[in-house]
Amino acid sequence: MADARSGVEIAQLVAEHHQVVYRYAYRLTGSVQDAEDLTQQVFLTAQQKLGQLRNINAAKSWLFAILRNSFVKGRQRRRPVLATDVAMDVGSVPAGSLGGDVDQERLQDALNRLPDDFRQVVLMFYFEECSYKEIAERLEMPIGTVMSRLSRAKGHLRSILFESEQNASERPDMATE
Amino acid sequence: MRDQLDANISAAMHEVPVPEGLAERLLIGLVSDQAEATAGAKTVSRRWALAYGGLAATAAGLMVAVWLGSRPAEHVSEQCVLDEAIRSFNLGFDEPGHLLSEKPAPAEHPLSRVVLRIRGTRWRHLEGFLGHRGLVYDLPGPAGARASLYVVAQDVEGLSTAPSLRPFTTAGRCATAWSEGGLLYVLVVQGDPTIYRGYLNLPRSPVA
Repeated sequence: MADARSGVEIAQLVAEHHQVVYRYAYRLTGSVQDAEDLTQQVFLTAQQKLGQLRNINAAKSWLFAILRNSFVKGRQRRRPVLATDVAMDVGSVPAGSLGGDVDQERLQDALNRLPDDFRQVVLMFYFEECSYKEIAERLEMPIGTVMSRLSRAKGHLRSILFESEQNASERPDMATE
Repeated sequence: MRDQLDANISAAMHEVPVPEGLAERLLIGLVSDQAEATAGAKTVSRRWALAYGGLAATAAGLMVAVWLGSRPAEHVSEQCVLDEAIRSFNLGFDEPGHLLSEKPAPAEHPLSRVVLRIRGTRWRHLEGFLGHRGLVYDLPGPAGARASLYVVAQDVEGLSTAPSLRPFTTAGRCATAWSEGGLLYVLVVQGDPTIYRGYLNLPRSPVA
């Protein structure tokens, strides 16, 4: 039967972190069902490797690392999306635009259109709020590669989100009575 | 480097609705997996495999009850929560934080809907609040008054779902606790109940 001690600990991890893990999974997969499957996989892996978690305060980062690895493994079975498949026309996007709320549909659409490895870096930057250096260390990647991918991916996000805001600002003001 | 747009996108990234019952489904999956692993490790008969399945379901129910259903069984009283918040309030006067207007707070601990959005509000992480981590919003007020809103993921039995108009008062402090969106909120205000009510985003309809 299940080890009672590990059972309680994994239950504690689920209770405290299932929401943020699910949200991260949703941003990675872009689908409710895939996000739930991925979240389940994360906690299954966490249960098997619970002994590796030395510091409960680091649990969230540890779960995020499992999440990224599980996502990459799952994606390797599918056809990879190449960076060249995605057009990233970012040259005309003002850096300081988009001051208001972010359009959720556009945001997820922009994420879905990113190649997996770009999406991973973007989410580490925006969701985990990692620095360039932290991303490079955790992905064991040169920091120049991180900066390059982030720069292109951020431009891609901004271009889609800015397009949304621009369209909205061109509409007549419907709120005034 | 992060700019305002980055901050907006970061905040928006966390705005994902979580399906209802997700935690329960995850726990059931975990217990079933562990039971299957145990059954698979030993060569067992179909009868035993079925028995493991039953035990798995029972254990899952137990874990769900322990971690989700009976979390209020920590037996933390409302008064205990108020005392802890006032103690933290008295200690944490000059602690640094992030301006809410410059850096959105983590979505897990949002500002309450029933507390006024006040310019100059700051937020900071909260450690060891009755054994929990969370967030504190420091709210400026009129004539140097100040208030802090403590937000932690903790269930406390018997709490209302909105702040009381008649707060607990002690030594120039007003405090009230309520439950909202599965989170515990405690508002501590320096001043009398009139100043306290000034921080609330109250409905315009008469309150009984």
